[in-house]
This record gives sequence, structure tokens and C-alpha cells, in this order.
Amino acid sequence: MLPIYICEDDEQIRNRERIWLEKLILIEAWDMEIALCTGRPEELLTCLSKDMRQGIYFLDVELKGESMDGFQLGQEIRKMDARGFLIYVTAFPDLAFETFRYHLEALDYICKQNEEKMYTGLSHCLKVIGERVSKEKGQQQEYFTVKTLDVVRHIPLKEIMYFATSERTHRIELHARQERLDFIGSIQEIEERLQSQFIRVHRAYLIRKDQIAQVNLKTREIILKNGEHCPFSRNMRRELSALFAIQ
Amino acid sequence: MSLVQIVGANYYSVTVNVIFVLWMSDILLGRIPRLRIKHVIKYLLCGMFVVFVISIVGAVCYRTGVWRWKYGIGVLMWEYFLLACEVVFLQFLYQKSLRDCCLGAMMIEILYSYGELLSQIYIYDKLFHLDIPSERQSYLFWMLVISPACLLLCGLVIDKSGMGKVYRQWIEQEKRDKGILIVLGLYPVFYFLLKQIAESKEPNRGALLLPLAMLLFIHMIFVYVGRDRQQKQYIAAQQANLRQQTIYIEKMEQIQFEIRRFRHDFKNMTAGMYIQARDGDLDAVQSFIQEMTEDFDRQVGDQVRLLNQLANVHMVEVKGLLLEKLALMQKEKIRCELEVLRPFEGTRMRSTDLCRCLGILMDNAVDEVRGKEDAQIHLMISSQNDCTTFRIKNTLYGMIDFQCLGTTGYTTKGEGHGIGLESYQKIIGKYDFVFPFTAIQEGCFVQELKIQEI
Repeated sequence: MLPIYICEDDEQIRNRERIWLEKLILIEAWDMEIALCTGRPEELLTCLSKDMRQGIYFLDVELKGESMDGFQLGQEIRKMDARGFLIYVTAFPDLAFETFRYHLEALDYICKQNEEKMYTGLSHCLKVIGERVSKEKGQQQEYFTVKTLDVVRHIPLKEIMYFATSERTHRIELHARQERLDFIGSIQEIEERLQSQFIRVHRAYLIRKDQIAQVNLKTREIILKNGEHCPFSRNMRRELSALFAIQ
Repeated sequence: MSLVQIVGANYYSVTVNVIFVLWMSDILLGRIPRLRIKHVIKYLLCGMFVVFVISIVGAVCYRTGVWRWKYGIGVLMWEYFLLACEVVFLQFLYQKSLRDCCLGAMMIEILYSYGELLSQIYIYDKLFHLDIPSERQSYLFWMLVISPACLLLCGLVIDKSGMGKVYRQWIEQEKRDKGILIVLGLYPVFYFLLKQIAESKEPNRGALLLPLAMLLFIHMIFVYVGRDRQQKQYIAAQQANLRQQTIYIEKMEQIQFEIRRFRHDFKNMTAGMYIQARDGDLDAVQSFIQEMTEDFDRQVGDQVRLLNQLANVHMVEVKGLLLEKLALMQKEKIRCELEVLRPFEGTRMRSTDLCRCLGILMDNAVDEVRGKEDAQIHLMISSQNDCTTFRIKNTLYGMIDFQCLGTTGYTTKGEGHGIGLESYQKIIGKYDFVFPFTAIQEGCFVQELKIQEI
């Protein structure tokens, strides 16, 4: 059962949120429950530290008179519940939502100025979460987690084409189907972690085995399924010949 | 003197030179980027190795008489050998491009010449025979005391007079005058020739004035170029400031106009609401207030919001760039959202490079959505947790060959384009603390630049 936490400094709005969510859960028969409805962020964090499950959080952005605002509360929650769903309920329609989404992976934000819109927003969020949770249950996907300074990204392993070392020291370039990023790391460590699915074809290249389309022995190049070319070292010839069809 | 003794003596003087090189490189190229203990140990070992190699080669050259080769070929070869060692050492320390390290090494060599010339006033007419104890003593006094003292004096003058700034400015310059580059490359030859001319007559202290004059001449060129550049930068900054203020005033006038218009509508609307309230139609009043709030948001709110976010950008250069690009987007009827949650004060990346990078990314985003329906660009600047993130997101209409991005000549805009992203890659390639990210996410093209601030 997914616990729902509400943190809102306005008691009236807090109660409205709670009543509406309880109603929704009952009508839709979702596997969720209101675990806490409070105006104090510390209370939420204490409650969460006792029961660290994936949860749903409806948080106010401003939290007047409290020790932290909604953004800081979100950061604290993320430390304990990396996969939880954060939804911000705000009076300001001009919330810097992209920043919230970027740093906290917030799911959505709801404007509480208009009661009707707020209820619609709450219903929509619960529906999206319900769908997402059931979808997650059905599929188990492997991810490669990479931390670039203040952001942690989870990239599905099947999306990654290859890793390459950069000219800059300790810099690794990750080439995915629709993503490209730099991070600090060691290609050797990545190779050890992912050796079942990746192959080190060159001292600078670690390639996903099932992304190799062709191996050209003459030019000593590997052609990937997306058309990219990567060199391979001489001593990999035999291993590659054994693994793949040679052009 | 035995070869070992010569190597020993050389080891000392070369160590002094290396210390001078380190000092000057700190002034010219800035702080060494990686200074953890393991790195410092590596630097020390590398420094000791370089000193050792130079000392041995120097001793061998002395013994075999390479420096006495005709036409000064031996001396010049030795000078270029020292320069090459310096370049390798600088590259090891700074991990900068070969060109930057070459320039840095040549500059340091010029600065070193000041100290060397100064110290040579003491030995202008002396030719030491190191096998004779008294001459050896004199030579050692010059080498151990006079020469380091002159270098120290010279270094202090360079450091305190701010000359380093002028040199650094020139090193960091993107487009360098080729003539100056050639002069710098041939500097050891010119220096040698001038010394030869000066010393061709009777050796006297005045003979040292000629190469010293040449050094001062080179220095004056740099000061002139530096000042000129500084002035140009100042004028450019003033112009940018002026442009920024003009755009800001335009925006304020626009808001004022919208408020005036809203005030006019507001009067009519409240009149209607008054009647509904009098009749007790609360639902109508509620929806009325709702409509009014939305209208205000649409007419004035967007502009105010944008300016509110912009107020959090405290770096003048970036603010100016954003204002310009926002004005361009407005002209092109592109909806643009800007998010700057926390004040952005500045960054470690050079402002010119940062503005060039952001300019390229924003121009690309504008080019992609220009003239399209529901064109939208989202800009985010986030500075927290000791890092700054710039994120530019635009709706993606066409296909992008994601794997070719940033490669020479790749473009989606037709012939004559495709230079932007390549130069972008080149600029960020210079920085170890900048992390790029490119992705296609939910039908949008996302470009991100993350800068580590500590």
C-alpha cells in the first residue's frame, strides 16, 4: 500500500486535500492510504524516517513560519525516498517547476488558487501514479546510475550504446540512443560492473554487445546499430570474430 | 670539474629556474587545476625528472663543447631544448592545449631573460674556467646567489606591477596576431643575434642594453595590445549595458501599457460584477473573479514573471545576453519561460566563454522552433550545491541525427551552418569542471551545461 503524505501550512486547504484524496481512494479502490496530514515538515520527516517506503507526497511550496520550504523538504525526502512521487501544491502558478522537476524529480504541481482545478489536479496525479506503479510492477528494467555533480541520472542499460574515455582526465562520455553526457569515472570500473553486457573493444571504448551491427576487420572498426563507428584494438580481433559475423 | 660535479651544479641552477617557471606560470596561466596530494607528488617527481634531464644534457653539452658550435647553432638548439622541456612540464601541470603551453613557455622564457640579463651585469666580461678554483668560486657565487636574487627581483616586479595580467590576457585571447606568434617563436634566435651584435665589440656593460631594449620593446607591445584590448572590452561592456538598459526600459513600458489596458478592462468588469453581487449571484461573482485573475495573468503576469526571474541573474554579462535573446524570441513570437529559482551570482567559467556557449545553445533553440506552431523555449538557471546548471529546452519538430551532433559541419539548417555546436564543444573542452549533457526528452531537445564551482 502506497502511503500518502500531505504537508500544507493552511489548515483549511490541508483538510480539503485530505478529504478529497480519501474520497478518491475509496471510489477508485487504489492501493493507497493517507499516512500523514500535517503542517510541519519536521513531523513528516520524522514519520518518514520510521517507515521508509515509496510514498506519495503533496507538499506546499511556501510553508510559512517553518524551518524549511517545500524545495528543501523535497530534498530531504529524496534522501530517504529516492523513488517517491513528489507533487507540489502551490498558490503561485508561476512556480519554477522545471527546476523542481530537475532537482527533485517532482511529478507535477497543482495550483491551489482555484479549488476546482486543485481537485482535478489531485485526481490526475493519483491516476498517473496508479498507472505508473502498475506499469513498474510489470517490467523490471536495469539502469545505469550516474552522478554528475548535484544530479543523479538513471539511464536504462538497454538505451546505452557505449562508453568512451575523453581527452580530459577521468572523464567518461556516455553515448545513449537519445542522450549524451559526461561524467567523472573510470572505464575499468564500469567494465567490471557491466561486463556481462558490454565488451571492452579498445582501451578507450566499452561497447554494448547487442548494439554491434558490423565488425570491419580491414579498417578495425565496429559499426553500431545507430551508425556510429568505434575503433577496436588488434588483440580484440579474435574475440570479436568469435562473437559476431564478420564483414 | 668532473661530469658529476657539473651535473650537481647544474641541478641547483636548473632547480632555481624550475621554481621561477612555476612562479611565472602561476602568474601567466593561473592556478594549477589539480592540487591533491597525489597530484603534488606526481608534479614533484616530474619536476625532479625534468631538472635531472636538463642537468645531464647541459653537462654533456658543456663537456662536448656543443655551445661552442659555429653560428651559435649549439646555443640555439639548447634554448629550444629548454623550451621543449618547459612545454612538456607545463602541459603536465596544467593539462592545457599544446598551443597555450607553448605560448606560456615562450612568455616565461622572455620574463626569465629579464632576470638573466640583470644577473649578467655581474659577469659581463668574464669567461669562467671552472677548473681554476678562484674562477669556480666566482662562478658559483654568481650561480648560487646573484642569479637567483636577480630572478627573485624580476619575479617580484612582474608580480607586483600587474604585468602578468597583460601577458595572461594575451595568452587567453582567442584570435592572436600571427606576426607576434612568429616573433615569439623565433625569440631565442633574435635574442641570440642581438647579444652577438652587442658583444661583437669590446665587452662592456652597455652591450647588455641592446637585448634589454629588445625585451622592453616586446613588453611595450604587449602592454599596448593589452591596454587596447582592455579598452575595447570596456567599450563593449558599456555598449552591452546600454543595450540591456534599453531592453529593460522597453519591457517596463510594455508592462505599463498592459497595466493601463487592464485597468480600463478592469473598470468595466468590476461594474458588471457589482450588479451580479447586488443580485446575490455568488457563482457568477466567483467565476468573474476567476476570469479576472486569469486575464491579469495573461496580460501582465507573464512579463512580470519573466522580469522577476531575470532579477535573480546577478551576472551582468549573462543578464544582458538573456535580455537580448528574450527580446529576439518575443519578436519571433516564440513563447519563452525562464526559471531562476535562486540568485545566480557568477561562475568559474570565463564570462566570454560562458556567454558564447549560452548564445550558441539559445540560437540553436530559436532556429529549431522559429516560425513553428506553439513554439516554446524553456530556460533554466540553477545555482545550488556548489554547482551551476544552465538548461535550454525547446520543442523538437524535425529529426535530429543525435549521434552526429557536435561533429564538424553537422547541421539541420542547411549549407553554411553547423559551426555552432562544434565551437561549443571546443569551448567546453577547455574546462575540466564543465559537464555537458544533451538529450531528447519527451519530444523536446535538451541541452545542459553544468559547472562545478569548487
